[in-house]
Amino acid sequence: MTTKKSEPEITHEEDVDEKDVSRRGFITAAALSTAGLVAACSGGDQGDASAENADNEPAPAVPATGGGSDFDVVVIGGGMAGASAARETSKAGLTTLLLEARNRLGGRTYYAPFGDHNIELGANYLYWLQPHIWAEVTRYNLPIDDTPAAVNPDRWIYLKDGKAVEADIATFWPKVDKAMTDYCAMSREVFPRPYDTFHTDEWKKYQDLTIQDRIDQLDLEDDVRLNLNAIWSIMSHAPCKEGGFLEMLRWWANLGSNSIDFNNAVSRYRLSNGTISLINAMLDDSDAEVRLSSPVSRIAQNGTGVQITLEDGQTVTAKKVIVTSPLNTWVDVEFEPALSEVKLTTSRERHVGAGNKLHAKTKQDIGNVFLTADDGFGPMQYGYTETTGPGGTTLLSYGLDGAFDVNNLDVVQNMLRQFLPDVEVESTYGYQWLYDPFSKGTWSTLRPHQFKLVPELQRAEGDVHFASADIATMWRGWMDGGIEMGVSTGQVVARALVS
Amino acid sequence: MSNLKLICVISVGAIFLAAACGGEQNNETAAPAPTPAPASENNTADAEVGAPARGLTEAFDEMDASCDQALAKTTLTQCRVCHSFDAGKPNLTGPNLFGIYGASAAAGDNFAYSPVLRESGLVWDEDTLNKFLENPPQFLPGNRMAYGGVRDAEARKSLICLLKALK
Repeated sequence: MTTKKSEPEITHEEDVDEKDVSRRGFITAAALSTAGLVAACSGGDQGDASAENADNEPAPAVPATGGGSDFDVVVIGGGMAGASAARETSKAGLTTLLLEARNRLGGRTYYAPFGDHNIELGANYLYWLQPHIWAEVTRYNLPIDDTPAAVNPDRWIYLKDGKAVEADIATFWPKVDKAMTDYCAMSREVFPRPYDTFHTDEWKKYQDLTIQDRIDQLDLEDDVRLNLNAIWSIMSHAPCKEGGFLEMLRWWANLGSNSIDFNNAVSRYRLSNGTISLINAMLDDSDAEVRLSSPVSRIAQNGTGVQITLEDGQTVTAKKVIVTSPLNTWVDVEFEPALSEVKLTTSRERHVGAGNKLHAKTKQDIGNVFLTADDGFGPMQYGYTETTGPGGTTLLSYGLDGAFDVNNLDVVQNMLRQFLPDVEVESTYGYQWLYDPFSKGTWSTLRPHQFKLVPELQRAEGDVHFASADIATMWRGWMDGGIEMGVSTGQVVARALVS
Repeated sequence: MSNLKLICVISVGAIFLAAACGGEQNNETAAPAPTPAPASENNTADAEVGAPARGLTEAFDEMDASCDQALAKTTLTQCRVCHSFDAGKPNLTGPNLFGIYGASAAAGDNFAYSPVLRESGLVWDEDTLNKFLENPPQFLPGNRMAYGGVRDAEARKSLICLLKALK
């Protein structure tokens, strides 16, 4: 990776003459952009544009700036959505700058070193029924790891009235499987086209239901009900009375309405070289500039372009901006003109995903275990073995309490001992996304009343576009959703600027 | 990431709790030590002839004998997820922490410290480090370290011992 000094440099606010900013006019150099698009369509990169020149004249050098703006496109956020959006606009020949607030790429993915190995502290799983991310896996030939222990436990232990109960998996799983299937019985009718969630009006029948409301409609044994609550609460990463029923129904429909694919999708396949390998692949495949440690404080439109002000007062101008930062953080940026009331209100309310995730290593080999608890127990709803052997077991645990002390060995050990009384924990770690002001939570599950707002949350406001995974259509809250939004929005912006 | 044009950005300020997240993506953002130790004639001369950078190895060797080295090492595993510690190493998700003891908060280069930390006026000593490390979100609401804290007093003490020697 090479370091390239930005040209032109971002200017300090005190150095900017507002009149000069407006005089620049933000006019697109359409010819240059078109040349770039042709090159992209023919499989070449921007540097190949000269070879595509119809007159066999040397193509003009592509300038560092696009027309009167510093950049054609500024992408805000360096996660899956941001990296894919930047790739799309860059490959269309548009000068593109990606601004990332943190001093790392990845957004709510974070492949980080822990001791002698790396762990995924954020988003982790992908599946071949997630069309956008799987296209990237194919495109960049990314290797995949299979962690089958997560879907083939030898022991299933759940908390009931504060006590550990060991299930007979052979007889208990079919009951829970049936309960999940019954919970989602109407999935094909409501979402006959999962990529187009509003294709019919069937969803309106269920729009007011929480996850808990739907569970309560089913006639279930207590232990099955408890575990259904555990499963859906952790999938939504919030108490079942908060998340919208339609959100989980959509996952089920996306996966062909069956529990085998559902289980595989939520806890089995991951990128061998970490989520960062895909981020890097997408950005390596572009000419976008990337600037880290660049929190944005203001996004102002004047009808002919956009001025982005960074937290330290520096400014940059662009013809169009793609905001890929999390929904929960939109309210922390000053937009001029102000965002629509729906966007602001939804950002203030937040989506419901706000729990914890921790990686624990036990001293003993505790085998392939699956641990569950309902949403009345904050620290963990869903835990399972990733790897196990004579050297100990690595466990991945998800809970609803985002403030749970995931990094405290004693606290985590005591929590696990409620399931496994003799377990000894050697190490534990979790990134506390709730404390990260650039995420303010984990993955997006919308509240019941927020479901119908998705089209408005996705709607561009002038030259500012929105492309977070939090507002994706199909795999909202997933890496796939980030890429869905990044690619589709990047293409919309590219078409608008190139034409 | 050969094609990635990574711009070393915008700097804002300085320290917080150190930084080293092995992220290859951050290799370009070199972070000078927040507050270099006073240069004696000798170490200045060493620098001129390219003396090896100091860092964790030396800090463990030189930390006070009364400190719990083993506990510091264990506790540090969590810090190393996001922080670098050796002099001259780039910031990671969090800033490089070499020389943090005795330095002003938010004083490092090329790192977007939170406004609340920049404006805190804190100097990192035993007392401020102890309070911050125990519960960062409570001690300094609005800071950007996504870490709930080291609740164990002995673990904090060992870490602070190590940071004291990291100069």
